[in-house]
Amino acid sequence: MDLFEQRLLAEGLRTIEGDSPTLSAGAQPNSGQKQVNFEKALLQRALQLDPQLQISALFLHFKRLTSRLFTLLAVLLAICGASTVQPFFFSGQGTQINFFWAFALFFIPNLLTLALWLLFFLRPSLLAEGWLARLSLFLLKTVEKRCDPLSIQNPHFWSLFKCYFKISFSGHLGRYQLSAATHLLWFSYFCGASLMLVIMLATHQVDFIWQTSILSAQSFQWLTQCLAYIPDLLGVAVPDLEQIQQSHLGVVNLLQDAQSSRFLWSSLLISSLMIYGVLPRVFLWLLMLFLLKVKRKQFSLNLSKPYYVQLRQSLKPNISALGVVDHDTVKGTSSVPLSSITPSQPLPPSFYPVALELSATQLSLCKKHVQQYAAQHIEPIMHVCDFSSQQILLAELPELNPQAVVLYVALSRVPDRGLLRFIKSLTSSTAKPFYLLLIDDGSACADINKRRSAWYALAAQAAISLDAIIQLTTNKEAQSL
Amino acid sequence: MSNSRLSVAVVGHANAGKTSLMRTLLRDAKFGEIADQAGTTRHVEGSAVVIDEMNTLALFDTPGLEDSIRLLHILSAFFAGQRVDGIERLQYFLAHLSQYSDLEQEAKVLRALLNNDLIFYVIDLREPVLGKYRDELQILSYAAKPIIPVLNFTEQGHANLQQWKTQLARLNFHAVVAFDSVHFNFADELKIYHKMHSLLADQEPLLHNLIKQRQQQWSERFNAAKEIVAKLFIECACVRYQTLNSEQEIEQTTLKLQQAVRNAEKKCIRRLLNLYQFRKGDLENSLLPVAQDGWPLDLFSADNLQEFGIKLTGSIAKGAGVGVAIDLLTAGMTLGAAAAAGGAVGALWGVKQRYYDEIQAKIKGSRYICLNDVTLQVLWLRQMKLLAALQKRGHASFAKIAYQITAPNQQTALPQNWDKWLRQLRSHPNWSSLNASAGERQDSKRHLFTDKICAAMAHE
Repeated sequence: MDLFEQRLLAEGLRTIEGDSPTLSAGAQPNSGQKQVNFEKALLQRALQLDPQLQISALFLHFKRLTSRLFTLLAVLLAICGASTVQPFFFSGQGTQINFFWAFALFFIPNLLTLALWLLFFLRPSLLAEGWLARLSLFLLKTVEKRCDPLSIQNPHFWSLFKCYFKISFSGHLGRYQLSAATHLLWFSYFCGASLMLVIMLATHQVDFIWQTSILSAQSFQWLTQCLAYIPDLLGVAVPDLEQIQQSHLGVVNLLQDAQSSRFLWSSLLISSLMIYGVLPRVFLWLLMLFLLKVKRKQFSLNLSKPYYVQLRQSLKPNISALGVVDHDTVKGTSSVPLSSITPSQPLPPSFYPVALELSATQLSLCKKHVQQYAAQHIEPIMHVCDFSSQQILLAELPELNPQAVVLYVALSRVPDRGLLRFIKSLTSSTAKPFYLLLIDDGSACADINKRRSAWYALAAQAAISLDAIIQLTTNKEAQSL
Repeated sequence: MSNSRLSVAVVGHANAGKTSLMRTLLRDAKFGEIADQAGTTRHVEGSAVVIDEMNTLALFDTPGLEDSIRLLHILSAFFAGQRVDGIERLQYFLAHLSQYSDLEQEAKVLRALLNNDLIFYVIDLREPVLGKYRDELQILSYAAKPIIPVLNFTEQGHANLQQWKTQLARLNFHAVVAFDSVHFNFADELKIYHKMHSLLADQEPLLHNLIKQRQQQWSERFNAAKEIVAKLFIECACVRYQTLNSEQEIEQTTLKLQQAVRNAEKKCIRRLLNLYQFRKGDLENSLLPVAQDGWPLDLFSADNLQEFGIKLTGSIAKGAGVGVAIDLLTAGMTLGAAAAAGGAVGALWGVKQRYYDEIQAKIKGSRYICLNDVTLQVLWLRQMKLLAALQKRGHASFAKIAYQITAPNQQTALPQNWDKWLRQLRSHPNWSSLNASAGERQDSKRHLFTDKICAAMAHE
């Protein structure tokens, strides 16, 4: 299966799965497959799912069907081309053939369809219209139902046919596929006609003439010479000027001249048919086949479609887990359940306030609170927020007079081991009772109960009585204790 | 070509949002454990952003630095009176860790600092600048690795932004990036990579590829999401159900219509959540209010006439074309009758294609119902709101995504061509697969319309 067929298979799978990739490919990619890029991975997935869904078998069936159809049409066109020779050239009226009329009957439709083909070729969007697909689908349905009813039992038969048709016969590929088919059919038509013409000319004796009512004789002479130019270059015997003039209305006198004229005009007609009819179509057919091959190689999947974006996430995840690289061997600290929290004690009349790691707003709230409840404290409140202030407090604490120490902390702050260690060292440095005052200034906190519980756990570990924890709740309108 | 990996240690104080940052950068809502307390992450855990088959960006989440004050004090006490670099102090500490068992978590962070190429120092911007944070930065500087301070929770901690920037500048950290792991902004993520790019000149190709890949994935995801939404809108705007003209029948058909549209919306939302790698549970439950209206078919509207005119001309041309071919095959003996007959058949076929269903419904005494304009407006605005929310949501976010529309008549929020779109869509009931008798969907035209809607969404 070449790359185009694999991509076609992937598109077929997308048609079956719909908007999102839902089917499981079974085998997980091994480490080697993990190194492949996304497109290769998705093609591999399509190949894995193909035996189960029979997509490629159906596509092969469609391919055979279309090639058979084209072959049939080519044969029919060849027969058609052959059958048109006799009524055009060898009518029962006589043995004279109007050369230019015969030539025009073959070439004017050819030129018209060539122009039509060029229009479609230059505007491939016209091929995207559904009418061709609908017509093909209708024909296929009719043929398949009659000839091969088993084949349509696949539940995805019609959707896959639409997918196959859309890729192969519309858009960029369709442009070349249909062009190749058009030229093939005309080639067949001309082959049939040429063959029949040779046979008829070999077995019939006809005289070639030319006639005109409104054009001058010189125009026809010039036209004939133009037509004969390439055959002449290729060594084909063609009528000269005198013979062209003599053929006007069949004015050939001598028997030998008539014989020679018949031969020359016949060879001109056959060679014209070959050179201006068969050869261009063969050339265009081969060119289109070549371009089709090139375009098939260039055919790519639109990986920005939602289906493929989702598939990328499952086949080639953006991340790969590296796991735990430095394990934890120590259990984390547990929090205190709120049910065990007892009501708070009132603050003692005299206490030493200590602000721990507060923001400017929290510190001002702390100061207000101190002014209200410890008016005797006239020194600036100690704000402990770094190593040096910690050391100063630890040095001063044993010598302080107040009955108790109140630690002002922010409820919104996460209590950490550093703070625990420091509070532990404070409580162990003096026998004075400690109070923990939690300032709730309304700062953002996902779960306030969990945070309060964490502070109670810290207090318990630092030997502060749980009933010595007080919460100071503030908001813009009021402050309450 | 050899495999290349750039590794980054994500460090910071406890509860600063290191795991949240990891989740958002990895687009993985399941990475690690997040809780509103210190010490949630207790081990170093890694995950890699896959850039391509050869290159990865490895990110390592670390436990929080909880006692930096003591750690710095210990580190400073080493090699007293000697001129020793910080990195040697860190190595000495790690070599004598058994003496400091209570600093085991900090030791893990120090090992991560030494083992990785770059450090993201995550700062909870809601916090004021405290001594312990200054000490953390001091310790980080000992590792002699490039450091990018990442300011997290910028939306809630905006007031402290300047204070932090000033403090970081004083400590010589200038490559600061504001990145909110909950209120996500892709431009901020790119800023992180650009800072990495400027700090790690030798990793230029890898980081260039990383930036390119992330941008590509982001735009791919957005484009895919737009397409999903546009398709839902087309499906719902083109849907119509045939019903008999009795109240009971209309009620029953309306229920069916409601169900079909709600299912289509659910499917679309599920796809969007998958696309952005969020979970179903991240979404707030919200039911689409569906109301029906009569299918508006104005035979003489400009859009209808234009559409019909084009189709009719096409059908006549096709019919006549076939006729001409027959005329040619018979060598003109049919005298052009085949062409004329083909044209007439084509014209009749065109009329049948366009108006057969409507005429048949009139004869049978039935009618078509569809979604009314307000329902379509609500549907559109809900998807727009959801899409905007998904674009701005970090994978660390716990808040539910609300996408209910309370005021449906938000004309200003609707696209400029809204009315024109509706008129056009209602000329194509065959574009909706929700219709029971959906025929050929004319995929090419439908795709063109989808692209048009996607383009309009991009401009919004």
